Amino acid sequence: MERTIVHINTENWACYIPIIINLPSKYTTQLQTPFRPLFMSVPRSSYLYFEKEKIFNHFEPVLKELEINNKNFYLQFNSEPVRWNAPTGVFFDMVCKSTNHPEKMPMNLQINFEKVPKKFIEFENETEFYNYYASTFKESCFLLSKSATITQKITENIMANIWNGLKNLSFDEYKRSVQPLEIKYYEQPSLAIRIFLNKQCIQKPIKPINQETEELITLLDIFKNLQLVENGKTVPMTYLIQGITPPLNTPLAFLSASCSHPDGFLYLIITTLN
Amino acid sequence: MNKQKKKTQEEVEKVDIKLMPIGNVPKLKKAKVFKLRRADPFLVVQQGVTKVFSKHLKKGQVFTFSLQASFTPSPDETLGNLTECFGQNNTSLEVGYSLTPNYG
Repeated sequence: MERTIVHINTENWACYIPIIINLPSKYTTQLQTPFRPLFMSVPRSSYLYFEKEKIFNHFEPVLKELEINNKNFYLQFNSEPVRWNAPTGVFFDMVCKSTNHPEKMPMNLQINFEKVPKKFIEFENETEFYNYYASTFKESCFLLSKSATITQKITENIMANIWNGLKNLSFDEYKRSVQPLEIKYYEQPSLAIRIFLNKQCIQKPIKPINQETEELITLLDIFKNLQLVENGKTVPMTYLIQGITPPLNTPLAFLSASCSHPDGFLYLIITTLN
Repeated sequence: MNKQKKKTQEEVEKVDIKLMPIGNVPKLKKAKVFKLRRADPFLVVQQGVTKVFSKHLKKGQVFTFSLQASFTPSPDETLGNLTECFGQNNTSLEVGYSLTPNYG
């Protein structure tokens, strides 16, 4: 079982999402020189934030030509801002895959140099982003143990090593760094899960085992709890974890162990089709 | 007479936010519980505290907020989600505030 979990995690960390970043027409119509979009492959398990400098460097000549002094920018998918603080794969599953239409590749993004939208979380520098990531990771750990049992073990050194594992996109390094925290998903009082139901986030403590039946809680149990099951069948909907649709009887503890993102959360993306 | 008071829909959709000062920070004269909507983001708490104590802050000082003395929630997390996960009885949430990070 442990080897399967490690194998799945390794595969998830090795997945990339092809994206293309274009200029909106409001900028291209003003350009004298031809413009080339930016093509990238971004790790599903990582954050677009790490690509900010590369993106900016590609578009800097355009900024100079348009005489735009603003160095701040954000990305959009069909006018929906791409959050820097959401794992890339989570955003992709929410906007690109969870529709009635066939998945469109590459993910087509537009860059915008105007004032960022309200409530959009900005990070002035990498230190701010590190602090944000560290807090999210600690939040997931606290939720797992329903106490400070795990978070108390997270020293500055351990957190820095976990961060390096993420930045280097090395699951081996990440796994070694997390080892001292001794997280045992099947035995934890709760699981750290974020459910996006039609893009609305639901986060609640979910036990790995049903206390009455002593059976593992499965995806179907969660859907029943969310009232997405009628007459024994799920309502018309799509659901994704790391871009795939696991069987309904898959235990959540197994999914948490094998498919959680580097921030410690398992993301379940549900889109109802009504 | 049935003295049991039914909670209104509006009351059910709200959570009690209790501010916990940590260290050398300005404090409210009277301990107060703020009722905020479950759907409100944590940003509302951050902005509210900063506004209330704005006169006490020196230039460049910002508050650090924490739950369970362990982590800072994301500003876009809803108070409902946070209360259900880290609060008391899914109805109230204690939010620590300080001028320096108070957790490792």
